[in-house]
Amino acid sequence: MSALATAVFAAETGSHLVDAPRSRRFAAFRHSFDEAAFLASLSAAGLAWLARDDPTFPPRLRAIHDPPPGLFVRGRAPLELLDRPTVAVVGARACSPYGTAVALAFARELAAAGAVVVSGLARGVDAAAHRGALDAGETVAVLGCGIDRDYPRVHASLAAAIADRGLILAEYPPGVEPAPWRFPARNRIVAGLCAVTVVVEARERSGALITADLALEEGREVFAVPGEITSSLSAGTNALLKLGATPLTGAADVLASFGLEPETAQSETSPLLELLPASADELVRKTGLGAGEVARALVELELEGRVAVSDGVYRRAS
Amino acid sequence: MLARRLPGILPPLDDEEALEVTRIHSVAGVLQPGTGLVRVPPFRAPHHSASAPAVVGGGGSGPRPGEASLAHRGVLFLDEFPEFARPVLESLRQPLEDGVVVVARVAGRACFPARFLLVATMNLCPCGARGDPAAQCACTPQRIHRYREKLSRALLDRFDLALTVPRARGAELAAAPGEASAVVRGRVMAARERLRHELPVIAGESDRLLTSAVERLPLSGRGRARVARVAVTIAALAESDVVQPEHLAEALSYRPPRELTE
Repeated sequence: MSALATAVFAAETGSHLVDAPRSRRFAAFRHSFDEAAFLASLSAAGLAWLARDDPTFPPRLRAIHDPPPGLFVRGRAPLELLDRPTVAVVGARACSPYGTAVALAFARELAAAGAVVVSGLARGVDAAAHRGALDAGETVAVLGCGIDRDYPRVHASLAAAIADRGLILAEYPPGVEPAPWRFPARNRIVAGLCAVTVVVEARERSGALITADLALEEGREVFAVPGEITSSLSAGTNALLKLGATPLTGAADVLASFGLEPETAQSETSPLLELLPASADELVRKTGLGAGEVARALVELELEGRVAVSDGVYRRAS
Repeated sequence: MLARRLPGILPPLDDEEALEVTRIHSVAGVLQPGTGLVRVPPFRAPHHSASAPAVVGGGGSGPRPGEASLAHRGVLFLDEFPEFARPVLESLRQPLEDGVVVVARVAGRACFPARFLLVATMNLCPCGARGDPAAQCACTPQRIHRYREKLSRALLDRFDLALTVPRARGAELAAAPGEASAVVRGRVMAARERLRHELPVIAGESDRLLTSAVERLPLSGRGRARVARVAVTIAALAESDVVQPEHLAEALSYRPPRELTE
């Protein structure tokens, strides 16, 4: 059982390891490494270690060409969560309100239908996907730093909410600082865990495209959300579409590939939905309804999860 | 523009209030000679480069009232809110909570009344383009975060109403003027009178809506109380004895946006 020693050694030396290396340095490290004490300190911190040869290790992740030696685990959900249909929802950190709204609504719908949304806890699309999924179900975050770190710091409360209901995973033991090269490595785990990867918004040559490439390399299905052709935030996703990614127009597209049904559609449709995206003021002007009536309709639609508001603009959530 | 109109729709100061305000303005030396009692609610708009002593009061030799006290019984307007220095923003929490400012200096200690309506404005991002369909925002997420982070949650929690105002278009600016301030003031005075006698009650469907909102939205205990209070005010303005669901929904739509509170 050298998987844990390999993982800790890789983190300490800053190397990318799949299996235990045959170096003298590693042999020396392994000799001095106290696995039992390390495991005890992990469980004292409420963390766990899942080795790659453990039968509960997600088989899809084991199948990629450079799987991690194992995963550090934080969170209350059972590991069986990863046996459910898993969907990676990734995208730009500096995303537009459109990207946030799409990621939020789409993740919520996926989670409501029983799928598990996997993402990277980054700003922008990642965080919106986690939040949307938490509204209706469970979600899994994969970190590009030590398992005990909440990076970026602004998402500490989000990370706590995820740990409460879902799982946080990392290849790296406690204390490892985030570093630029660790994020692409993290992305391979996000893509590896999931049967389907969805890219919401991505610039050219961005981290989300790395995740999509990794998913394609492993033969997983990749969906891209179509965006405006004039927006640089859609350059990456539109390029993916050109390469043959499936355009994503609703959660049903992804759910169908798992044989899942979207939650039954809401009964009546509100005429306001046809006018979105719009600010509340615009809706008052366009419909001629009173401000109170429009506010009431919007708040009810928001409570039903059918519209999302960002920077004062209401958008359809489904 | 909107904020400057606010004193115009507030009821004129009664005798006691007028005496208080006149005293403060007299101590500060901003009273114009020969004007008598200040009857109009004051409007103060310090620039965002103002220091904490200038805003809440202070000064080396004998404390003097600051802008917060000069705005007593009136409106304190802070344009470009996040551009104010952090100590200024945080020093506003005491007057917002207690309605008074306590200034302690070597030369002495003074307590000034400071019960004002705080109106603050900010852009959605530092460059100001976010939320405007005609412009492209160039701010990085870090920059937006730094800008919004300046407002602590404790401070934001003290705002009863938060509104996202889209950029006014030419057609709207050229349109016919809306209601005159005097007409609105009449409604405000009627609502105040109504609230003095009996508060509109939240029951039935409105209560159900409030409960489900607390469950589904990130709404703190203070947030719930605030939404209820705003809904009661809206009902009073609508001359209703009960809080209708649309009053409550309108109150809910005024809560601070998720982007700022998370």
